[in-house]
Amino acid sequence: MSGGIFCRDLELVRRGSSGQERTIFTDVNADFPAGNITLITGPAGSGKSSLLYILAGLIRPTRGEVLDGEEAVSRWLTPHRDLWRKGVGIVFQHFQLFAELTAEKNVMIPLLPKKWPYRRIRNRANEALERLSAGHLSQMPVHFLSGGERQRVAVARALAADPAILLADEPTAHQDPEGMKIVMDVFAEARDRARVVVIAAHDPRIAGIADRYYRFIDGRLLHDRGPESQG
Amino acid sequence: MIAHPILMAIGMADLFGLGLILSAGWIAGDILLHWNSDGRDRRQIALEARSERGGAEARWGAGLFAFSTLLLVIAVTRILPELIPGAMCGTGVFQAMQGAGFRAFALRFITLLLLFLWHLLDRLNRTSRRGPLTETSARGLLIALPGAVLGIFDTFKAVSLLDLERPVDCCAALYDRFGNGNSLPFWENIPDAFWMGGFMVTGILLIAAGVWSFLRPGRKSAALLAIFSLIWPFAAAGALVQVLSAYHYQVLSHSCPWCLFLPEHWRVGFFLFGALLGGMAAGPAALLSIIVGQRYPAIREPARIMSRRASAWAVLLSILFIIGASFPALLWRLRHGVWIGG
Repeated sequence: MSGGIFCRDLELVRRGSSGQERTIFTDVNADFPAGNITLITGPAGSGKSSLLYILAGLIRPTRGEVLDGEEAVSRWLTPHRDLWRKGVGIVFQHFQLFAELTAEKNVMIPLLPKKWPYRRIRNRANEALERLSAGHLSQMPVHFLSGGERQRVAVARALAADPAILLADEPTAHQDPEGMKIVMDVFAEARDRARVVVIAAHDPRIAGIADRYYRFIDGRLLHDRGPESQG
Repeated sequence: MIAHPILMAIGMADLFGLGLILSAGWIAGDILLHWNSDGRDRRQIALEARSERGGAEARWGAGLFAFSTLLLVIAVTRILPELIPGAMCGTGVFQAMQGAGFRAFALRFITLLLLFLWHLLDRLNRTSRRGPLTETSARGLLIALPGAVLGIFDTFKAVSLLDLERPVDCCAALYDRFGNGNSLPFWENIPDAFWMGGFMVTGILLIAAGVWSFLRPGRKSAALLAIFSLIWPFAAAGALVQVLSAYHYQVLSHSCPWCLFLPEHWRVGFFLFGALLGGMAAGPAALLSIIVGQRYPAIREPARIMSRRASAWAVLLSILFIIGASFPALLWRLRHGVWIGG
């Protein structure tokens, strides 16, 4: 179980093939405590997704570190960071599902490293799909599904292993009001079970559920007061 | 220069391996100059990523270097004797290489030993989350690097000296030494009993030290094991070549190490000298593991496990060598009731 993840002096600089550098964000200091939903907002290209990837240990920052409790996990050697990542669930903006596999098999994939019996893995995957009201889709190949359905499968996949840290990039972008409520309920449950939940989104409908708010402005992540600050 | 496919394969493996080791060496230099594990500035974070890349490059480079060395042994023992007029085994090939071959081999095996010890440090480093041995490991790689450069350079030199038109007299290289007693190297004058006594005494001491180091891993036991595993191979190789080889060849005297690699002698040289080199590396590995484990608490337990494993390998390989080297002699004694010299 994670007590929370914390960013210290994070900076991300992208370098193009011509050697030209672009600073995505700099001096990011932020806390993402367990038992809270933290919402990160900001304009397109401000670095929300990149920050989530750094928090998930998928990419390294160019400066600074990410702490899980006291441990600077972003600076761990790759094999150790990969082990730590087993406790992180992530919903990608573009889902990253295996289109030819069924929804059930996609959700089973993050459970495979647990080396559970096949039946247990399958049951757990179907439970996760049921929680997202996507149980009826379990035997359908992902490429048959609509955008909203795929997104719920992606959320189910992130939740199936009951991760200590749940990161979601625009998790409601393709959801109608009903789908939106289902997804938000699932995140609220994760919060109530003292998980770290971080959501990066444009969707103003999410703001109401979050406990903490950050906003990217000009490459800096600033603490935000949330919906009340937006009038 | 001979354009044989195996020599080209050795050249390619050497060039790629050297490229990777040099690239890793560049990063190792940077680590020694700029590493600051407490800092989280851009240079340090970039260096942490590069140190992992450098480690992978060095592992692949060392693997290619080991592979090309094995190919070189196969070439010298099996391929090149068929091409060089008068050569019957590696002795003839070395004669054709005009002295450069011995230096190349010596440098390669010393470098392999150093790269093996570096690999051990690297593995221990990767058992801990933050890699506390990164600087020590970088130092180890930089120590091995000149050996790799010189070893590969000398190999190219030795191969380029090979002349297919000039015949060599393979056995004469061995037997001519007996023509004039004054020109014998000192080891030819050492009595057989001394070789066998040294082989047995140091062998027993090595096995005892290995068992002690396995049961009670510590600096003293591992140091003793390291000392004997560096002394014993010389006594063992001497006993094998000067005394026991006669039983493998079934002739009164033929002190040639290279004929042991020939198919008519079951290519036993690969097994015997492989066991000898493996045992030689295992002793220092046991000591190095213990030393770094005591210095860095984060890796104490994996270092202890690795030291015990190295001790077990030292014992196992020395026992395998003793059995493999002396079995034909024991068989001869059982069959004929006398030793080969009477």
